Amino acid sequence: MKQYKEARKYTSPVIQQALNNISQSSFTTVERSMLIASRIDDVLTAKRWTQKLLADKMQKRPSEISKWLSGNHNFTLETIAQIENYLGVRLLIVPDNEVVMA
Amino acid sequence: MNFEIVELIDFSGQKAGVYSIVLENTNTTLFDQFINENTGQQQEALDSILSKLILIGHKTGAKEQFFKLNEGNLGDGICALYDSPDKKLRLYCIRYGNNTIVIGGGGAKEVRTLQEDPKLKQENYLLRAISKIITEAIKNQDITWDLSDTKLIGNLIFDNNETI
Repeated sequence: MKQYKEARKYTSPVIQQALNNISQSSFTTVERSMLIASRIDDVLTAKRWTQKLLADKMQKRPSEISKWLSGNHNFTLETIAQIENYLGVRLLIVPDNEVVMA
Repeated sequence: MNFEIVELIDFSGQKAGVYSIVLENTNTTLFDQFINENTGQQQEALDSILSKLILIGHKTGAKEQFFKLNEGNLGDGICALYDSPDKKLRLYCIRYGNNTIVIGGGGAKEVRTLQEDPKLKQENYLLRAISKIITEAIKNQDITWDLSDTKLIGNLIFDNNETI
């Protein structure tokens, strides 16, 4: 008789401590990079474009597109604007009416 | 080799299930060991990898471009999560599509090929052996997994394997 059970749920003090050590700014940097990479990938999939096709259209090397999609890239605003223009979608939305209280 | 697959609740989410391995006669996972070994000397890269795992589980899924692929044998799904190409830290994983990963150990890669570093080779080959056993279990339907779900379901305690 085969058993169909979910895996045992696991956490540990080591993992908890390591997560507590991550600074918010460090996490946010990784988050921005990965979410932009993921968004580009989703748009390429929706348009049925390969990374090579985007590279050709933007006159970039395929390795550069691959770097953008790796989730490690530190994008400049200029690069984001260029990618947005070629893909025809927004990658970054900046709230224009958010008030930060002192 | 006997082991248990456990789900890491701090990382698993709606986009991907994140699992690790508890080896026989140990109480903690290969991933705990990886954290212990790299806290301090590889802190920045470690923080980045931990952040990535949270995001993979909850927001993006395990998209293949986030990993260095083909770090094992042909078709065994072994890949590496890393901070950035110029950083050295590698965390070896088995990737099952975009929605499930099993993470093992790793270390700082200071050599051209992992086979040149005994520690990396050991971590990588251990995961290759585990991948082979899991693949066999999926084939035999002792474990079920499909592309639409983030869960590995089945007999996730392997206690009848010979030493590899």
